[in-house]
Amino acid sequence: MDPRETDDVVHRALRALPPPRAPHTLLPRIMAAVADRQTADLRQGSIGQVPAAGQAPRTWFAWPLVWQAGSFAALLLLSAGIAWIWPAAWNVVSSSSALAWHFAAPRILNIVADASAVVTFGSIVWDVFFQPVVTYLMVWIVLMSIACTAFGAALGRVALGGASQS
Amino acid sequence: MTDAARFEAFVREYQDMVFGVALRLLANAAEAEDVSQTVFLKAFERFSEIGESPAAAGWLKTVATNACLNHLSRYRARWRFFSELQRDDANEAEQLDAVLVAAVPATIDVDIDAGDRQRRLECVLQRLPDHQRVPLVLYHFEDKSYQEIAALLGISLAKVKTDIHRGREALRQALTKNHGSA
Repeated sequence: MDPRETDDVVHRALRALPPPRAPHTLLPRIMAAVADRQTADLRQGSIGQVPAAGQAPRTWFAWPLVWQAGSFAALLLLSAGIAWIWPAAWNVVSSSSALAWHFAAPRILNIVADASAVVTFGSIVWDVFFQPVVTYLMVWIVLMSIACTAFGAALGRVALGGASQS
Repeated sequence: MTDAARFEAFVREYQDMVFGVALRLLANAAEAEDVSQTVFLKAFERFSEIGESPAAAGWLKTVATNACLNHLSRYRARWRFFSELQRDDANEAEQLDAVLVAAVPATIDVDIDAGDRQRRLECVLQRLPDHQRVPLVLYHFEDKSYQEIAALLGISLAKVKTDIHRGREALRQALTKNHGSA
């Protein structure tokens, strides 16, 4: 058969095919997805939304006068209480801290000495074992990273059709 | 009429068309449903613009086609790479025969009416490999030119022509067998 004839025959046959009908589950599925989307949008909107005038937190200056006076009196009372109790509290705290320092100081000095020894040991190990090879090690790590990245990119492009990048 | 009711009427009007495009391109009903849902969600986002527009059908077709091609290139590339590693042209001819044999029902000797022929043709079309079916569908159903198909699929014009020719040959063989047996 002539190619053009084949083209015509196939074209006519294909065009004569009845159009596929969507399954009856498609419409409810789409409407459910739309409802979900709307709910998600509403939820997202409520987080960043500016609160309505009735819901806005009221500042101290907008409080009723009685509340302002009451809160001011409470603040004064609290300040006076702190001023009255402060010298006694300071005495207690300072005496306790002096006592604590008396007992803790030797232990802290011991810990500092131990830490210093560990640091010295570490620096010796570093100088003897790691310092000579650290340059080569870094070069090797960089080369391996480049090779892995190149391999991953090639695999993603050739085998996965860029799917891994989406 | 509320927005939801208007959108429902919109989906009801165009769902067959969108699903048809997706089914013919993907040859898989479940994937076609997924893509149709994606297309209508996009339509919902722009419903104020396209809801009443006379270009809605064209817009939906374009979005559906692009979504299907995107779906094919992204989600099928993984298995297609491994399944097509050993595929060559000689192998393809055997596969074509297998498609035709699979599409021929056991009752081929009995008279086949037009409905059966159409079902068989649809069956052969759906069983064609992606690289033949997709350009064939774009050419015959979506009225795209060879150049447009090549640009859409990102392949050469020669490959588009070859693939469409092979797909057509498969369909012609199916039609010929049908006529011969009827």
